[in-house]
Amino acid sequence: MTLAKPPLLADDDALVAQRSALATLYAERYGDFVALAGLTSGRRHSAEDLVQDAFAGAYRRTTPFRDLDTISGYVARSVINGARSEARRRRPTVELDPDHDLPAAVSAELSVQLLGDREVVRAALATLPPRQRECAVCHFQFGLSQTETAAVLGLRHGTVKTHLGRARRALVRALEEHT
Amino acid sequence: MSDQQQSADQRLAEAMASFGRDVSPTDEGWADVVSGRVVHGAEPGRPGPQRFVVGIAAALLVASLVITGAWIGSDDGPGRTVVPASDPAPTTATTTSTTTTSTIPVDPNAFTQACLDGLGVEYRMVPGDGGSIGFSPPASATDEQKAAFTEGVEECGDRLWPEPSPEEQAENVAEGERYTEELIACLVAAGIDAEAVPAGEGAWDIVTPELAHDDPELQSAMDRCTARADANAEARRAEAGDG
Repeated sequence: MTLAKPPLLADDDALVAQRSALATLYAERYGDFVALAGLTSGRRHSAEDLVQDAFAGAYRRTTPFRDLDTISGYVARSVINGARSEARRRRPTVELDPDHDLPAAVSAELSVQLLGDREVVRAALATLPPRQRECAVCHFQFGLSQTETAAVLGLRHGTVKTHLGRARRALVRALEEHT
Repeated sequence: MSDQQQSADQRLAEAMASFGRDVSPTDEGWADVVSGRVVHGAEPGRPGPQRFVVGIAAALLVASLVITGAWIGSDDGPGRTVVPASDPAPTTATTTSTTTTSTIPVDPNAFTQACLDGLGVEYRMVPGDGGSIGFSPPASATDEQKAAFTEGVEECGDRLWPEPSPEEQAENVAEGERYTEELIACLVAAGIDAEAVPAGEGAWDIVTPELAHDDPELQSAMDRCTARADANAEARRAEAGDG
């Protein structure tokens, strides 16, 4: 008797491939994802939780991605969705960002000027409207193109360009004033 | 572009790129992802003293959620927007026109539906977890239609919860002070050495010199005291609404 080939073998292969891609993405860009979550939500601790949740959700996904190159965008969008949901649920007591208290302890390899600039940029980001901030972090920090940023945030390309232009002016102005 | 602006652009790029550089993944973290055991909580070993911040902006957000009883755009994964329906409805929201401000009864789901209809945005309503109702773009929506849907939901959210007036902002700052005073009094009564320090823009730092922020005693007291302060704040809002 000949056994038929299991019909889901192709999907199983795809699942193995995408989980392997997720593991690579986690190893190579975990810090970038945490920064993406932390800068958009303003909370460093929950940022790590948000990233873990997003990766766990993607890992549990049994529908194969059509293209492994889209996994990074999918996880980024999950992280941002998590940050948005958390912001809406947030109680009025929030933890102070540890970087604010312990810049040297967490960033020993960074120069003093860069540490100062980071704090200025972090503070300036916090004053931006939420969508501007998300666009700025996706593009300037996470390295997404304008088109990719539009896809991840579900915005029109023109809207992203407008948000990025305004955000960049505000952030540059903050740095110039800090000089 | 001036040299100064070019320099600031360069500094911006370097500063943004540096975020996350000092955060590394761990094998344990990946093992949690694989197993699905994602444990939330504070990182151990953080040195004290620690501070909590009572942010007026966050207080405003919570206030708006309490007032409206629900929220738009609680995203449930990519491409999905959920409006929880378990909250009591109809409830109230404030609408602002160029000349008047009025409070009207509104069901957040109905408001969203009518608002999206008014904007001409295509959507479908789908049941979500826990009896919630979700608004999603049509299954066959193009990327452009999905983008229009996202922007429409944001626009409707802004209409449902418009920016507070200067008078409302002043009242919210005063409410933040009352909230902070109650929180400190409760913590002190619980035996926690806590102090409120102004942090600007209506925010307050809650400083606890003797306890790290992840200390179980502090966490327990904070949970209890914020619950009490939340309840008192809600009672004050209800009283003001009745008046």
